[in-house]
Amino acid sequence: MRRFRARFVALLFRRRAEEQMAREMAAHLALMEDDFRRRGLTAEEAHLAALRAWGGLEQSKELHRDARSFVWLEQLLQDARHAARSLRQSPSFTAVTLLSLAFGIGVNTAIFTLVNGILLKKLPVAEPERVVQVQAQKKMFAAAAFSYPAYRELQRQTGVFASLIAFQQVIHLVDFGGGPGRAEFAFVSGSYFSFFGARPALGRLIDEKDDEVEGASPVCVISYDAWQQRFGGDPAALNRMIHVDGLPLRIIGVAPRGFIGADLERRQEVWAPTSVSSDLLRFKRDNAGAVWLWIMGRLKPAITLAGANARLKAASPAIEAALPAPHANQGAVYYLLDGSHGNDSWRTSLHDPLSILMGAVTLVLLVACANLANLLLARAGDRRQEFAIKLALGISARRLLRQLMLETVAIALAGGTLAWIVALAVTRYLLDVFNAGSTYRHLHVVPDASVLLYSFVACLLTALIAGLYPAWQASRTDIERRLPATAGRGVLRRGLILVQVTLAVVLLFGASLFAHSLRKLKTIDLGYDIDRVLSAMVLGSGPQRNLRPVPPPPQLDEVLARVRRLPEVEAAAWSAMGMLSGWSSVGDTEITDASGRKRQIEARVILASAGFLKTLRVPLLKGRDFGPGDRPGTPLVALVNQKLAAMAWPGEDPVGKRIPGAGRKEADVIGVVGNSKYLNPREADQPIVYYSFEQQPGDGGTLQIRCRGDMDAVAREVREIVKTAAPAYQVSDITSLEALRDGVISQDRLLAFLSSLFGALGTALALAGIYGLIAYSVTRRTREVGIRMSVGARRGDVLRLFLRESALLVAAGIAAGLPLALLLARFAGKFLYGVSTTEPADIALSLAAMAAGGLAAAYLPGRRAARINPVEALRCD
Amino acid sequence: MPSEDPKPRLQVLPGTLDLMVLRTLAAMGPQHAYAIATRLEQVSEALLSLNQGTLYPALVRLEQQGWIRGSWGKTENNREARFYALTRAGRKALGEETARWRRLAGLMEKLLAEDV
Repeated sequence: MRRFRARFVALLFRRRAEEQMAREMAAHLALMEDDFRRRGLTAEEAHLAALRAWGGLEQSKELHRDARSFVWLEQLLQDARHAARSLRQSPSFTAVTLLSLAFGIGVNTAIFTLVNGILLKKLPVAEPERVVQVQAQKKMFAAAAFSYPAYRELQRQTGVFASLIAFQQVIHLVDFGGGPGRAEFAFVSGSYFSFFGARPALGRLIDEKDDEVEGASPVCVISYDAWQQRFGGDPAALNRMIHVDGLPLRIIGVAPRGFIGADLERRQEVWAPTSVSSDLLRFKRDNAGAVWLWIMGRLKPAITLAGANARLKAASPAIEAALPAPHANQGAVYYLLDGSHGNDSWRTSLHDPLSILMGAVTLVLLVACANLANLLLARAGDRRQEFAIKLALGISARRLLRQLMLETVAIALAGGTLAWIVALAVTRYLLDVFNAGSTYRHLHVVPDASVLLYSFVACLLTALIAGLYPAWQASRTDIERRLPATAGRGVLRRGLILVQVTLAVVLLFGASLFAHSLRKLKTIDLGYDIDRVLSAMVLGSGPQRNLRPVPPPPQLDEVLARVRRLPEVEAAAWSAMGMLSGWSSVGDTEITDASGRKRQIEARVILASAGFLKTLRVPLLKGRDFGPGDRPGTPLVALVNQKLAAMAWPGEDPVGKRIPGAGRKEADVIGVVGNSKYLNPREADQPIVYYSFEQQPGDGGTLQIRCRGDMDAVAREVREIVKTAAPAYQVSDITSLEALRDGVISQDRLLAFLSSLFGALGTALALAGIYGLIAYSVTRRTREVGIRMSVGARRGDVLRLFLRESALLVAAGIAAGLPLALLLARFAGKFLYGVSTTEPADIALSLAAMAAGGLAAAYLPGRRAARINPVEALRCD
Repeated sequence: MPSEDPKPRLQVLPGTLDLMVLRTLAAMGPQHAYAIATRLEQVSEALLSLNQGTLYPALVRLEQQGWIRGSWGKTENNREARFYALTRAGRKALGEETARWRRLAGLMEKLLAEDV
């Protein structure tokens, strides 16, 4: 052990040890020379005699080093320096390999960052396996959100939870003192922070007492980052008031640094107890009809998941019986899911797309790997003279192999470092793309240590796979013939290109399918025109806003009138629940059909003001639009869409029919409008009923504004108008319908963007491979080209010679790639919209792109060959 | 290759050089490498084939184990040299190693003394 340490010290202080050794040996030799001189030899003879008696100065130095330190490690450092030098000497090779690695591993790391953050990470708590998420099976669907009374009953009646938390996370308008801005906010039960074992960074955290009595404790906790960014980390932030949608809350503490909470994919800035919820939501907390909370729990130590599920199932009827009516719990059977990964905001929905992307990105890495292997093979070919000299000078084949592997590892590590930069940029961009237009939640993922480990391993594996064979081959260079030992290197290089082309075809086809599908989604007829339309959510602000009497509609009328007068505005109207906003209102509409039978049709409900149809360009097919005459007090009116008309009164004229309206009164159907996509462009036509906004004033609504000028300017003016004309309201969000639509199809955009990126990368790498191969072939065959040209071949013939080489490779790659692409496309099927997985147009497009690229990649070096001067070519060796 | 030397020189048995060095230092007090080598040759009556350079790995090993300690000094001819001295640990190790070697040598002797 003592010696081990001494050897390490010697390694670190190598120079001093070397000097010491040299000095000692020199002194030793001097003593010997003295002796020899004393025996009568001349100075020169004495010197030689001393050296002879010594028996090999350099060897003994090596022995000294051997004993002194770890020679292999010393050599390793030496070889590493050698590798770095050697790479600096060929900058273009190094640049190309670094770039293909930076992108190959970079995009890989970016996708793994998502996979890790969304699918793999577990809650940072003790025994995350014991954390569960509560669900309930209802008649038609599985529910994940529950009412507050249901949360209480679950706690009281099941006895399986060591602790239980309830929370709701939605982006709100939060004013930290510098004006309102959008921030992730959560209502949490009093058990929330203790559930995660959190200790406050400052002040205290929300506890059961804060959450006990509704409205009694208007407090909040802010995140560490919010404290740093919004208050500069000032302890005086404590007890300051912030405003959430106008509701004042007192800061009682700061959550610990890095605290995440129940949802690993999101980052809250503010937490408030559920006891203040009724001031911000549209109902009392005790309302069992309002489902708005997610519930997670920790199982008691002795209880298994199966046991807990059995208990929950047995307790379900009692829970329902204990809930005050009206409740939204009809026949619900409660059960538990694994909650170790935290709350499921995106995990389930992104699981399959991420798997596809991870697969695709692995193909990209394989292409990059093949590219690297090819470059290394070519480089080894170019360096065979160097290897031969090294071997002749006595370097062992083993050490040469090690030197070359070190070069590869050095490339891989440098490439890996660049890959991190690429990965961070791509991740950042992806999240921006994904979150754009999402008004109520933001995906937040950052790479962590396991991502770092992943990309490091990916780097080393790449280096190993790509570098081992070329290095091994080089180490077996035949000294006499200066040729690498193995024949058939050309075959290997062509094989690698073939693999690259095959994989590139798969990637191109996938990219083509997803891009095609996205194009369809974007151009699909929504039933209204989203071009240049702003959607501005305007909500009542301040405490108790939902509990006070309906606010005076004149304020909203005034807002609309002023907006319409703006010169950049073409048309504007109110609606409640805007299209594509992510919010919808659904109600059972009772229909009396021709035979007098009553039945319920579940229809989406939109409140729309006069001018709504015109603003959104929803076609009026029959009857009339809402007009200025439809006011509070006049007979209630409604519009239905085609789908509802066809379901309710097939073959009859819907105009004049009566359906239930507000306040148990009936409404007259005054017109029929075209079908619209309400929440999502993908959805099938839904029955929709439109009621008059003016006749059913609610607390705010969504302004739909069709602009003819600068939309940003209109957005600014709308905010100003609301501030002056309707001070009891505030604009919570202004977005264009196009951005909202993009937000709704963010998954499709993500898939299309990434698959295109991967397709482009894979193809670029494959084409670079073809280019390199043909260029190499041109160099090697210069003499042959010279001979051909001198016996009458024309430039076109020479060009064709090399184009044919590339064409054959591409054709073979396509032949192998197409079946593979068609096979793999099946996994993408369920994410495609209006595109089949064997879409001929996409097959043709990807093949044509590959073929054209392959020819272009060969054309550049081929043209160089065609320009060869035959006389000079014959002279070259 | 038949040797013409009537008294063939011995190769140092692996593992024995360390003991030889320790023993020499114990007998003669602090010495430099050349003196150690010369002494070994003398004692062996030139039987031992010892290149001066091969002494060094043993010296490095012993010093790293803390059994000897080297320090720069002057010879009687005022030449500089590195003198190695036995440490306390080295003295203890010498005792153990000597005992071990005697056991081993005794065993070999007994084995070889048996009639074949």
